[in-house]
Amino acid sequence: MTNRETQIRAEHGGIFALWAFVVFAFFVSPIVSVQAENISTDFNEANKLYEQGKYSEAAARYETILQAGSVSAPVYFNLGNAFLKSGRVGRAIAAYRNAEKLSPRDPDVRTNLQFAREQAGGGATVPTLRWSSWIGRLTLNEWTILTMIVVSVLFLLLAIRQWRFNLKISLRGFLMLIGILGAFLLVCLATAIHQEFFVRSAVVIVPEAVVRPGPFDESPGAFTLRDGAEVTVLDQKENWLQIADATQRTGWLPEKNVMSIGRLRQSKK
Amino acid sequence: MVKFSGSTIYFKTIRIVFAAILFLLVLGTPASAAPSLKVSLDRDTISLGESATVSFTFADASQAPQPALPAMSNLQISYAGQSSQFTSVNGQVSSSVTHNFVITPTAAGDFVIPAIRVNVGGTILASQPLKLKVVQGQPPATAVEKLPAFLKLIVPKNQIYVGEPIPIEIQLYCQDARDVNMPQLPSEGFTVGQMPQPAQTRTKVGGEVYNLVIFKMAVAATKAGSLPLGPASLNLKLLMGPRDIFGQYTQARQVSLKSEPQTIQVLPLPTTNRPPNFNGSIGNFSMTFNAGPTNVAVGDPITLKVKISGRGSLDLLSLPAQNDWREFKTYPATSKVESADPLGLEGAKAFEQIVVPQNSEIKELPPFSFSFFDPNQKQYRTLTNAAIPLVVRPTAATPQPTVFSSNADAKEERPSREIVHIKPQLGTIHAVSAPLLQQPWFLILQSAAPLIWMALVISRKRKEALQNNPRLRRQKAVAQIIARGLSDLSQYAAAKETDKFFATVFRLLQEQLGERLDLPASGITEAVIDERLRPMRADPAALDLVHELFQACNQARYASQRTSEELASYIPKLEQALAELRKLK
Repeated sequence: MTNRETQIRAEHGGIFALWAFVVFAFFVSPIVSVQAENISTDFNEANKLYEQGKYSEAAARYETILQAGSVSAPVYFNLGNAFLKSGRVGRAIAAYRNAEKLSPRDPDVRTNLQFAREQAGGGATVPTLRWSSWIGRLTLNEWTILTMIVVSVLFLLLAIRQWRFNLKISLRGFLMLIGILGAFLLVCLATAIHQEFFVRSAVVIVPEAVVRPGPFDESPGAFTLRDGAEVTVLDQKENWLQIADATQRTGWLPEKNVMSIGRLRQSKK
Repeated sequence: MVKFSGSTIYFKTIRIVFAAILFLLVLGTPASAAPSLKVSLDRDTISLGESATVSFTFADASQAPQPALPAMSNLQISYAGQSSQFTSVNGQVSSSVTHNFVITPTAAGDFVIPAIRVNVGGTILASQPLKLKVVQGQPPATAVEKLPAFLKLIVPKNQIYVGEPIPIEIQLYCQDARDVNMPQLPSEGFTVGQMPQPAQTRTKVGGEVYNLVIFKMAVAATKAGSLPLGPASLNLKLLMGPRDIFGQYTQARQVSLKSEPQTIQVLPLPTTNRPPNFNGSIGNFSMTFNAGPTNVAVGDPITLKVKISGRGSLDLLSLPAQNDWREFKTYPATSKVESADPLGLEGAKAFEQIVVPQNSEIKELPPFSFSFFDPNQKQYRTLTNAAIPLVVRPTAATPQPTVFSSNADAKEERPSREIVHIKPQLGTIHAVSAPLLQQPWFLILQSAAPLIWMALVISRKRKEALQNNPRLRRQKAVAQIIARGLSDLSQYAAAKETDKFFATVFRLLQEQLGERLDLPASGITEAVIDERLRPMRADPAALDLVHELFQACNQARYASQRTSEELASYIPKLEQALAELRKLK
């Protein structure tokens, strides 16, 4: 092995160590353990209530955990089950969808969400594009981490190219590949950001929600939505929401008739 | 004398022609259609003290005689008149005549209105028998008589099985009202199905005539035990007070009505005699099954068509896994529901499933079985079709028989009958916080890689600039030499090394002057001050200082040792001289 080869190997070893450090740093997620013991106790008690068939009490206990400011997919999932068992299909769908946001690839969540949607009469789901549905397979944070890893790798490769200018030719193909991947992931991330921050979904949680042409009680009813109907929120005026249903009918209904899915911070209500 | 103008006659002729066409349309077509008789009750369950209406409708009949209802014990029957209807759609005209009878029970119980035979123009038409259930009145008639509105929750039976769907009714009785909201029904432990548009009719309760609005829905219990259902509640505005000149009420009062709650005994499904392929279907069903083609090659698809008809939760019906179908590769079934009633409890669900024979040894499609629990008979039932003979021909490349695990495809067929149970583990807890994209620490972390890249770009640009500019390179090299030299001077002064001290001073002056004048440093002497620096209009004081330093260096070669203080006193002068020289352009 020549000195030159030894030098190149040493350089590559350094690059790998740098990548490993960056990847590790990105995966350190902001997991905060907040009063974990109390939450665990509440969770177990809620599960016990559920097993005893006290579904409303179980749901209330699960909600207490969420109101304390801590969330997890199993809490939302179990809350959905408790709501569903107590006949509150709309709230169940909302809970399952929140669970899906935290754990989008959990087959149990998808199964029960599907079941709840069937209970709600089916066809009540706001139609989503296959592209949007595909984006929903990862959480916003997952898209963020994935995109940032690739973009950071891209910048680090560019940095290596500046550092060792003789590697410019050999890195070209790899840089192009990473660049294309980074651009694609940035588009995915932008879509995920749009869905998270600019698309607000809600679920009807009353047996019959009368949708009116205007945000007034005096406005005549245009159509009604059943418990569990999923809608897209287009606008808000005081306590009224302008919504579009699965068939793209639009109208206004009181905010109290629906439960927002949106961001988890909002769903604490 | 009446006079007609030409146009008047023209329009009159057109009217006559249109009237004749209409007459022919109305009278001509019905005679060709076969007459039929249909009988219906506006409600099949009423309370004692109420009345129900039974209607006999003769469609496309040239005559519609009033049916003669037989006398029935505990039922008072009175004729309520007839109504006629003509419809014309795309030239197809149909007509119907309806005879209405009001039935008022005098006792609670189950009644059957028998089949009626009517002779219509020589054709005997028969109606179907109808069932009418009369329950004890709620609330008591004396109280009801004075109520302008009240609400009832009607549950057909008080003992059901878990998962058994039953239709329930919320009945609103009101005289004059508006802004009627949809009813609310607390239903913990039940799943509530679709609620179709409410039906509206009129009825008599305790001598008072009420508008009756019936909200129907299906409920199914999700757990066993004694479960309360209701009370149903509903908001509306009652019209009251004096009427205006148009006969309209002048006052309205918002009221909230509440029904009596019901308690339903929910039984668990029996565990004995449960068929192995029971997948949670509850109701009363029949099944038709066919498959085709039956002469295929190995690997060719065969389409199974299964139609399950009857009463139950059709939406939740699914095909059970067939354990005897291991010789076939099966694909997830598609299904279509054909509801015969708005609650989705009656009708049929048609399944289509593709199965592929895996070897040529197969001689038949095994019997297909479907099990369900019949809540009326309180037992499980299994419907099984006979095996269908098959001819499976080998192909050039017959695949090896595949053992098919039915569970995998059964998973695809959703929804399952029961939800996935709760999770026992809390999982990873996240504090409710902004996404990573909004976390400052994360954004700072992200800037690391771009910053490294930018730093290296700037570094490389500077190196390139240095390589392409020899003067700049020398300038930097001289600056480094001077920095080191000045450092050495302090040490030489402290050690009283006079020779080394002045040699260094001399060299530093040479380096700086050489860099400024772009001459080799070794060729710089004191003479360069007058030859090169004065023509450049350098500061005379600075030149005198440089001159003084050169002189001191020259004298040091001959002079004796100097003290440390004396040597150190030259350092600031040298620094000043070098600084002045650096200003030279």
